[in-house]
Amino acid sequence: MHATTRELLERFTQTDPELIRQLRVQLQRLEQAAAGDADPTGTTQALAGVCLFQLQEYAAAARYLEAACTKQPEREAWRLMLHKASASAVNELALRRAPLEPFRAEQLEFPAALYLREPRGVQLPAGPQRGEVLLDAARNAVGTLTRPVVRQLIRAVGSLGSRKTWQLEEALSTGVMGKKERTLGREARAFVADMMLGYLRMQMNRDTLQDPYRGDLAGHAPPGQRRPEWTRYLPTADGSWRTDDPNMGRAGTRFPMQGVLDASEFARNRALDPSLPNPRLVSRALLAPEGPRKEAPFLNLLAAAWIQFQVHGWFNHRQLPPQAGMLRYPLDEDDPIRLATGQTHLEYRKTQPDVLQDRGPQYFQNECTHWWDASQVYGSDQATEDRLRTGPDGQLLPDGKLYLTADGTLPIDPQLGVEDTGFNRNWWVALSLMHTLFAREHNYVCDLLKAEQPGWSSDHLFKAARLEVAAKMARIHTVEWTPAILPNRVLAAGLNTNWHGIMATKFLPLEKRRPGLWWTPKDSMLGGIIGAHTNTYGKPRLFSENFSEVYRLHAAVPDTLHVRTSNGPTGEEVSIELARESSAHVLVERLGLENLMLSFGYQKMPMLVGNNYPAFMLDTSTDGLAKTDIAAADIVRARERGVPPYNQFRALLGRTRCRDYSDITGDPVKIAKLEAVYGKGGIEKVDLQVGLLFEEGLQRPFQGFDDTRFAVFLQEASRRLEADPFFTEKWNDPRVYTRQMKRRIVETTMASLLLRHFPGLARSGLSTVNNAFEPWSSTVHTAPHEHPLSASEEWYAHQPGSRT
Amino acid sequence: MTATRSLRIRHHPSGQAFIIDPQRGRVLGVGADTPVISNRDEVLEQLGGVSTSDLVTAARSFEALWKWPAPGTRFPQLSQADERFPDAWFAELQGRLNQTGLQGDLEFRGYIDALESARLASGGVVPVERSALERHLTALDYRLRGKLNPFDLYRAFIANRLPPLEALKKALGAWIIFGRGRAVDIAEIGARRSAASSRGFGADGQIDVEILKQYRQLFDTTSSDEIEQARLARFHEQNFQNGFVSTAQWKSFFATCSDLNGRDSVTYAQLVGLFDGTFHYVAASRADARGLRPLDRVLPG
Repeated sequence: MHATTRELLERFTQTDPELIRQLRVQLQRLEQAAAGDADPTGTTQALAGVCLFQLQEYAAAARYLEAACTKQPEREAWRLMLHKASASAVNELALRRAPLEPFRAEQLEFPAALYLREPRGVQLPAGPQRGEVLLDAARNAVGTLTRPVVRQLIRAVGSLGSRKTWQLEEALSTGVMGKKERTLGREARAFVADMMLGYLRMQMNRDTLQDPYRGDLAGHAPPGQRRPEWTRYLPTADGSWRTDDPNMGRAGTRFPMQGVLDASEFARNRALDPSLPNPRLVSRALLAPEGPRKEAPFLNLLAAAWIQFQVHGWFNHRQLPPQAGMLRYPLDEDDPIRLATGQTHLEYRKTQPDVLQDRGPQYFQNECTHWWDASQVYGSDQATEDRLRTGPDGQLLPDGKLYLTADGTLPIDPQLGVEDTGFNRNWWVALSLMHTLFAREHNYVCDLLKAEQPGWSSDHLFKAARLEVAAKMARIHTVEWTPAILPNRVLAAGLNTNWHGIMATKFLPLEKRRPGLWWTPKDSMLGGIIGAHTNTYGKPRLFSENFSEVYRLHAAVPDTLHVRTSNGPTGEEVSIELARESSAHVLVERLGLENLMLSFGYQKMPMLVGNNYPAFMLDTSTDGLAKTDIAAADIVRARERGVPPYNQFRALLGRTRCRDYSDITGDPVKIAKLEAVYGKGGIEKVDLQVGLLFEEGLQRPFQGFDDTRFAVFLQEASRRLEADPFFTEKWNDPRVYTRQMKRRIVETTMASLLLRHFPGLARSGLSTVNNAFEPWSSTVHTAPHEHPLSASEEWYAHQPGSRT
Repeated sequence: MTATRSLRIRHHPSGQAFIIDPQRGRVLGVGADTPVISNRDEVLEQLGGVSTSDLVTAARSFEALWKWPAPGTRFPQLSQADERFPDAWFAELQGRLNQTGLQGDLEFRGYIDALESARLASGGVVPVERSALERHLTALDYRLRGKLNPFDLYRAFIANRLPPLEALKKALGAWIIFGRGRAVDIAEIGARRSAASSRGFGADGQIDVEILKQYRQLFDTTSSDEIEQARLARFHEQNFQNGFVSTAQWKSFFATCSDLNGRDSVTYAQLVGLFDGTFHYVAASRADARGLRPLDRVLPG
């Protein structure tokens, strides 16, 4: 019986219903045998536990494994399985999740308006006054006249700055925080560096953007659709009709490829390419942690929480059910997963390909809207948006509010066991915090809007609040989170320029900067992207596959959370493995949101470098997969989706190719590791994620990010604002943003947001930092290297109440 | 204009053709093989099992969704192919879309223009289906007048994403060549042109399938159905002898494709769309870099 069970477990695959049936039959026999407790070795119980584990019945698995461990406590593999089963049981991973719906062709082929519910009772305020129109025309005229001059200057200085396009180190090193001396030479180099950044962005927008629909409307939408009038002023649930191209940026549209060559020339599925090393091998050798986790000294854990929260609003791929076949990778004899379960392969679901596939490269669809519209909070379709606004009585809540429980937390989805919100997969406690924070902010904004605009309907209040909340998110991300992770004076100024424009950034202190000031030209560079002209650069506004790959930041997740309260550290360490899925809200209930915010604010974020993934991610359970390795998945997905390997990825962005491993890193130990996995001269095989994490080129000036990742980021940071009419053309339209909404958007910071909803944090280290993503455990005086932004003399020099 | 547009609609299972005035609720209909239709063909209750009221309901919901649809646009109806993933939202949508039970069977085949309306009103007949060449031009007739004066042609070229000066030059050229100093009559275009000149359309104004096959073979040599314009131009030179009119038309087509594709290329869908007219609808409907579509400039409201 044991041999048969082991043989079935070795062959285990989710794709074979007959094998699963046999395993269940075998399980029954094992359970009968175990009931008699006749096996003094505990092997019967252990095997029953493993069978149940593979069938994703974790609670029962844990019971059998516990019994087995009692009989042989020294069996490490059993103890590991018991730990994993218990964690998955507590996390309620066995809860039946609704199967992910594959996208349907009709969703894109039918008129987008069919999938929207027209908001009721919308009473738009008056349009721009004559004076505003004239001022806008004047700013536009000045912008039109100055734009070519500015672009030429950027081209001239930017290209002069470096003959080799991507050798920015010298120029950007002038922007490293902490160097306080201001000399003419440094200022000149900083100016050149800023121009270079602008130049590189222009080059990338010109050369690397691609249209996955090849000249057709986004999503191959049928032409000539009638645009619902309200969509000109209010955001839609699914991202449709954000521009006149109905499906541009809509949920379900493709991820394009990015690069100087057409996607058809390089994008190919390499998931099962036998010439490449096994992803599990890559994971174990190059991503698994070695010793204590390395931490970024200048970032707290809120920075990690924030970016995952944002990413869930930007993109997600859907996966096919196991019946469609799985990607299978053999496990080594000594692999801990193999030793624990007997399984010989690791399996991954395939990514769902685009339902509207054309000839040419394989494309995949984004489950989320491609816009910065807070879809992680509100959902990416009408049904979800409406559901989140519905109270327990089944009616839409008044005043446009989202449903929160009496204690101000998100309701728990009884089917999923996690908070019900716009996007709730890959859930852990960090997301509980962020989603609750922004749901509360939404309701707060609804109250303000209701007081300011008493005539607005509930639908109108909701839509306007969604706009305001999304814009606050965008601003925090642009002028707070990003400078925090890239604390470089040049980059910080560049990011500020994105929002406020060169003129306001140059001439005004931080607190007085506003986008589109009356005396600035209407131009994305001079006056800021916000309020300037929309510019998609002629390519549909869609997040690229490249972008989704560089935002794989699992290395930023810690293994444990150090719990704090307002009285200081409690000494409790919560394993992140036990803060996932259903355990997240249990933790929130036990510790309270405010204490968790404190804990995240004080704890440092792990660094984005090689061999620094959290250990639990290499052997864990996720929805639908009893055993998986998330680090290996990061390798698998890039290969599967046709994203080129690291070296080609660089070349496609216009960067120089690495000749060998020593161009990635100068560390001989790391070089030896790369060589061991990819072979001698295997530079072209190096996986994107590995290259990014091992890269050292610009680590010093960029600090939080590697520079290849930065290249994609550089372009996208501005593009996702510049291509969105709601951040550009419509910013100055009072029918879209009232004066009060705009004021609140530009005045809200992450700290003010936290303090508004968790006033107790005023007594914490949050009050001693200028940027809420810096560690709250120190100040710029006690640890300047942990607060490089504040340590820079000019960044916060004019900040009211500056704590420098 | 919207309220007065009459639609040509084809009912696929029966092959019957209808002209529906959604505002007045009036329906004309003929059987599958009848090439023309007149006011004498008014359908009061139903024709071949297709009820008038269902047709009018479907036409009204269609008009609510479309501003300038291309002939060939199907009325939306959700397929029931994939029942593995039931979803309340789709169930509701399905209910709305399939309210007449007809939608999936109907195809829009173009509008009735003012000249055709007048012909019908005076007891004349109009074709139930326009030729591909006429459809190609109808795509540019935003005012549904049935003829294109220089102003209409200018707007059409603007909708095809040409710069204003270029659009003006093209409009005047087209007006002189095809209208001979008068408005270009869409119904008369077949008689006024040389079938040999453009190659894409046969003498009957329909797409020359053999020519299209040659293009297909050319595009089959690519990996993504997209080809450089220079290569396509060489192909023309080698296989066809274009006159100067045709050369100018290809030039405009290439210019529009360059704007749409962001590079000097043509896709197979664009080439086919040029012949069946759908290309003009795509060109007018795709947003430019500012997120605006030319369609709203040439067809306000």
